[in-house]
Amino acid sequence: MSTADDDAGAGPPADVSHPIRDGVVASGPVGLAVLLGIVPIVVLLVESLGPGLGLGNYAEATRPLYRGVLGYSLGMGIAVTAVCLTISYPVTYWLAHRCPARYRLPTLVALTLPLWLNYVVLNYAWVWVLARGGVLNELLVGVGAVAEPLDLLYTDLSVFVGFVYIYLPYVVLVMYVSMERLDYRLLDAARDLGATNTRVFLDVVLPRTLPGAAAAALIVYARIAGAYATPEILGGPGEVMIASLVTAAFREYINFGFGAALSFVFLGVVVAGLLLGAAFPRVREELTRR
Amino acid sequence: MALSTAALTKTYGDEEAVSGVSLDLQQGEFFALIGPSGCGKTTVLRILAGLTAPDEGVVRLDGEPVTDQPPRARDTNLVFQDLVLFPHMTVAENVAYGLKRAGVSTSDRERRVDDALSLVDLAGFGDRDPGALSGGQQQRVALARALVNEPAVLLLDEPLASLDRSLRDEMQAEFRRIQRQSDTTFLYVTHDQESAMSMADRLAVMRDGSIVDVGRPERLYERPRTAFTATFLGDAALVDGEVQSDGGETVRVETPAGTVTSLVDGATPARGETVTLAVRPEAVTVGDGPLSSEVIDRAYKGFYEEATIELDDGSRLTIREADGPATRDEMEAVPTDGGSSERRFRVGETVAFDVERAVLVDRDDDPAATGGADVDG
Amino acid sequence: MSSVRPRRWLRRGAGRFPAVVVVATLMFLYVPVLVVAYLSLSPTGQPTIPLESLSLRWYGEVVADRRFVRALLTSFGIAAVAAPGGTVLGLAGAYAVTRSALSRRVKGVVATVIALPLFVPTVVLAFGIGLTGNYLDVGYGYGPVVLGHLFWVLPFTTFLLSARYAEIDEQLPAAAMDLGADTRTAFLTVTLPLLRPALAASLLFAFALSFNEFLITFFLAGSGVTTVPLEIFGKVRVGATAFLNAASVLVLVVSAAAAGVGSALREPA
Ligand SMILES: Nc1ncnc2c1ncn2[C@@H]1O[C@H](COP(=O)(O)OP(=O)(O)OP(=O)(O)O)[C@@H](O)[C@H]1O
Ligand SMILES: [Mg+2]
Repeated sequence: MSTADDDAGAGPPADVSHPIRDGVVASGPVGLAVLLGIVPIVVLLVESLGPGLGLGNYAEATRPLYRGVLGYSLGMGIAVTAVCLTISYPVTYWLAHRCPARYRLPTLVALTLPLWLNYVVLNYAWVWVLARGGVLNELLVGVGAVAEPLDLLYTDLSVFVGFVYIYLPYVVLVMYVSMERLDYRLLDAARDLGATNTRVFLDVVLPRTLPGAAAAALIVYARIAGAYATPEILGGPGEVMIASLVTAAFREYINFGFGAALSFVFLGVVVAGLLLGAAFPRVREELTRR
Repeated sequence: MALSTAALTKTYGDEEAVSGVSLDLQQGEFFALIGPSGCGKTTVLRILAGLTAPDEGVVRLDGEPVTDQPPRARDTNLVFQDLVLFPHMTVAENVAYGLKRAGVSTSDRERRVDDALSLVDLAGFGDRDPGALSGGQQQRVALARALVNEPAVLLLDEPLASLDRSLRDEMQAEFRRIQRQSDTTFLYVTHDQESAMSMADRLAVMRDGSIVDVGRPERLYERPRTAFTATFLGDAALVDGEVQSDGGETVRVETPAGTVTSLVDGATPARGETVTLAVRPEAVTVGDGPLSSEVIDRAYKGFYEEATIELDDGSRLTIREADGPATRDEMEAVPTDGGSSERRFRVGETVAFDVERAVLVDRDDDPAATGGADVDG
Repeated sequence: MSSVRPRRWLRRGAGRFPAVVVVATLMFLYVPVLVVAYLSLSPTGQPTIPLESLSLRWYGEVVADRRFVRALLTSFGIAAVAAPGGTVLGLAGAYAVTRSALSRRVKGVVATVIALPLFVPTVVLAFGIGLTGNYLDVGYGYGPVVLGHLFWVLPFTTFLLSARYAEIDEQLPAAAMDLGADTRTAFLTVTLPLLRPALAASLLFAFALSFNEFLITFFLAGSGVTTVPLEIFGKVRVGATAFLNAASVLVLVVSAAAAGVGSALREPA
């Protein structure tokens, strides 16, 4: 595991396979991923079926109350993803095809830097923007747009904005990769043939970048639907998201089986979405690109 | 024997890249391996260098089997077809790499690197980045990187492909000089038949993974054993005909190009048998002769002109004639009739000709049938 | 002529639309951060907008806070193990999926297993990991948390390094071996130097990822281990304060520095 290509003995010819050595090399990362990725999922599955190998936990997890939670979570995921994509299209289009070359990299880094920042802290920042005594309300009241401070924080809206804030850089990054691969000469060709900006977008940009967008959407909506910190920090007492239920089931030592079943129902929806996407060859290609 | 191989075979997937290649290279010999793109030349070199393991067969260096030895245990060095210079090292560091591995002292190393760089005409380029060199300069760095180690067998994979003609001629002369002086055995891969013939002591012609003919350049050119060799080396035309005589050094063959006396190698064909002849352009006299055919294409080649004529059975012959000096007016006139009025040959005209000599060859559409036997090595 | 004008205006307007969105997006991304930075300079514990005066008082309080400093050291300690460990494992993973002798199919499986945390919702994985830890009775603490972080950074380091690996001519190590190197020397003198910038970037990104990781730690760190994100999360739920703002700014600066240097290294000069 120390080096990837470690062979002190008399090495046979370079393209002769070293299946054993390479198996040992691969076993490090694979072992870790199995131990913390596959095993826990199997444990969850077993737990969700217990005690006594029944579907009782699933019956509980699919009660209308929890179906509502799942629906709300997925709906939130889909809505936020749609907004992120809508913003990302013009942004990445500009970045890939209009931006002067020397500003391109700094702008891309600026747009994606938040990916590497702490999302707990980033969400917390919005408390100061949206609170009753926050910057936005002070501004609105200050200019006289509203008489009373608005209740923006701890609502669906603040959760929504928080999610867009966290996931936009990710969508921008993925869309940029698609946009950059789009041959600019295609756009020129379409313009040369008389297409308007709108037509260029509809006829060239959209079809060529849709697979990348679909792949990004399939990953992002699920992450949002399963997010924990954002609704905890910015959400109100009203709507609950799925991660909060799972966390509560774990933390309060009540009913692991119920939490596991809930996780599995959620995982099932996510996997179904990915499989649906993978049914389209070009989307599958994008999904495996990473 | 400096290097010999027996029945090397290498399969990639379903494709036999190399099948049953046997070679014997004498100490100090300049041996060329030629063949069309994709015929397995690079694969053979990699097997010899120890970078690819053959599925079957044996590699011997100086009589010792080295098939299972790693590259560093073989006294060979390879000049890679795509050069493969180390991008993170300077030119001098690239050249010094092998010496360092061999534990040559720093002062010796520096001297030898300098010598090698001057040898390839790159003195003073040591501190450059290989990426900052022209294609031809990079190629010479690759050469120096291999040469500096003074291997017993130097394996060169199209080492002159991206040099211009004069530099190429210079490097070819340089190769011959180094090879004679150092008594190094050269195995030189190319698909340029001209340079192979001019440099090599012997050459092997490869096709579809097999060696179809081996011998001195003169022998392969004058007396090719297979139709493939005849057409790949120079541009012989192939003509089918019926044998009219029995036995002997030569046979008479009745062809659409008349009755041709042809040299025979190997088994003499029986009277009445259908055979294939290889006819070189220089073996055809033009202007008078018992035969005539129509010119279907022509080309200006500098000091001569070439035409293609079509025989009765549809097969084609290439003929040549030295070009006399044209007048200035002729040269500058705008061609009005397809440019053929002032030329030796005109498309559509009928020329008289005679075939003076030809060689009987195997119609080797199936390369396996001709095998890879080393005939006169 | 005059009929052309409005159309050209329209077209230029439409042409500028994306640039306007880019500026708006950058503001959207950075204004909240600047707001927190501004409010961290509050002289009082509960900042009022606008601030009456500016003070560094809360930075002093944060640095002097035992809990916060301990969380910071914990986070640094975990990241200091997870970043090199994740990079070495990522190097092994990158080698396995690009250069190894494993069959295409096996490579695909290896890549998919390593990529698991990208596809499976984190809360599901974190819950599963927490539950597994419970059953194995490994107890909570540093060991499981470090393992969890290694697992979390692995796909990032693997795919960053395999992108670079794929750019390196496969023939280069072969050339080295032809010139007398053994496999190990060829790796050390040719492959490794060519991977070096990517390895450095991988170290820094893995550091940032580990430093910021929240959910897996949350499920694994039941007692004893409190990282900075956990500490801040706990405080956020109590209430927004100037102390928290200052702490947030410190956390952002640490991760932005790691990621910024990492981005600069990853791009070829
Ligand atoms: N690593 C490999 N994997 C699969 N097929 C290969 C590999 N190397 C070579 N081949 C195949 O083996 C055959 C011979 O290749 P090789 O490179 O030896 O040809 P070549 O004679 O050197 O051609 P060229 O003159 O174009 O360099 C080709 O059909 C090639 O596609
Ligand atoms: Mg080749």
